Amino acid sequence: MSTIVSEFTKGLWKEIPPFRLVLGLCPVLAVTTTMENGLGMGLSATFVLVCSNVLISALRKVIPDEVRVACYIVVIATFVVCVEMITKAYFFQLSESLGLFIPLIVVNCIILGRAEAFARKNGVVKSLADGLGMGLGFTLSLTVIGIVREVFGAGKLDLLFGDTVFIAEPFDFLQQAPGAFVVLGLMLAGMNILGRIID
Amino acid sequence: MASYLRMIIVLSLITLISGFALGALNEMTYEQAESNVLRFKKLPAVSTIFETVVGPLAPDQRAAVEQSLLAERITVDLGEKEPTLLFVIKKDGKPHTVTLEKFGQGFGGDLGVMSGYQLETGKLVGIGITTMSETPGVGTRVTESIFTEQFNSLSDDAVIKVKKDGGDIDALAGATISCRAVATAVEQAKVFFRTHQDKIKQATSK
Repeated sequence: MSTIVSEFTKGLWKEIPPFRLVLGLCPVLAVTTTMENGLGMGLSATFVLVCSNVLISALRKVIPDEVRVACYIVVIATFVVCVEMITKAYFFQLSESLGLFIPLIVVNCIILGRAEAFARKNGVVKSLADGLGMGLGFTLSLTVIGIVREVFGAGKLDLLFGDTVFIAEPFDFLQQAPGAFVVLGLMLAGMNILGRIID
Repeated sequence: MASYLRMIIVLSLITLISGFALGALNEMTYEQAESNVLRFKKLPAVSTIFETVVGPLAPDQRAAVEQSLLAERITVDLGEKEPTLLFVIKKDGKPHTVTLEKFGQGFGGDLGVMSGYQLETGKLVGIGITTMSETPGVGTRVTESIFTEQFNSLSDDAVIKVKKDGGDIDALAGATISCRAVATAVEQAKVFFRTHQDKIKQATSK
């Protein structure tokens, strides 16, 4: 039981994907212009990660070693296309703002990474816990970056406070790609300092 | 040999199952997705053109007008790959303007523009942007009325190109490529409409 809990919690702090593993940076930098986008992207990736982790772990004895990566990619791509179809049909605004980055979850290295490094060596329940933890860690990171960029870059927080304007003349730069690098860098630094204090 | 066979079988099976699953899901979601594009992308563009033809809409009228525009849309086979979707805007109960969508190459991919033409005169009455993925805050400004309203009152011999390319359209500073894409789409729609004007007229009078 304790191992399952620790598999889950490691994704939330010790191995939180964008900050500790520094993986999956493409969506982290690209779609986090608002909190809503960050959250949506995080949840989409979490869904794919959890499903693919579970399925790959369940099939781990069936899939021959030589063709495992091909099999993983097929499994992952299937779930990604599922997410894409579902968002297009039922969360249209979100799919508009995430655009190309939903199909790009296929090549998100966190997902293939967890399949290769974890799911193929561990049981279904542990893989589920791992995927859930990693996914939530990823979602959390994206949401926080999204909040910072939206509040300081656009001056509001659409998802929670609607049209309320916090900052009359926001720092536009944060809404663009270079701003994403700056926010990510500062947060990495902050995490490292915080980590050192806690240890 | 047995191990090769196993690889082939396992991979084929996984691919097969996922193909079937996706096909089924597509069946379930396709209509909903298409109607989303129609409702959230094409219809608002048509209703901006409606406003320039008939007059400004009060917020509470908009939904009803959009409903009737949606109900009165027609598809005409004009020898394209797919039948062309046309929205018909009526003025005084008679078909007055049709709108059709064409695409230009923007900075972030295809940029869709709905443009409206008067049925009788073939005059361009207005445009609305439908789908795009331009740079936020830069290319996305092509949706602003200060840019789109230029198209409302163009004379017949106006060259639909941005001024940099020798045309009559004022591009937005910093967004020349997006503006050029809009101009290209409108020009394409104009040529298309002129070529098929008779057939389109026939179709709308049915």
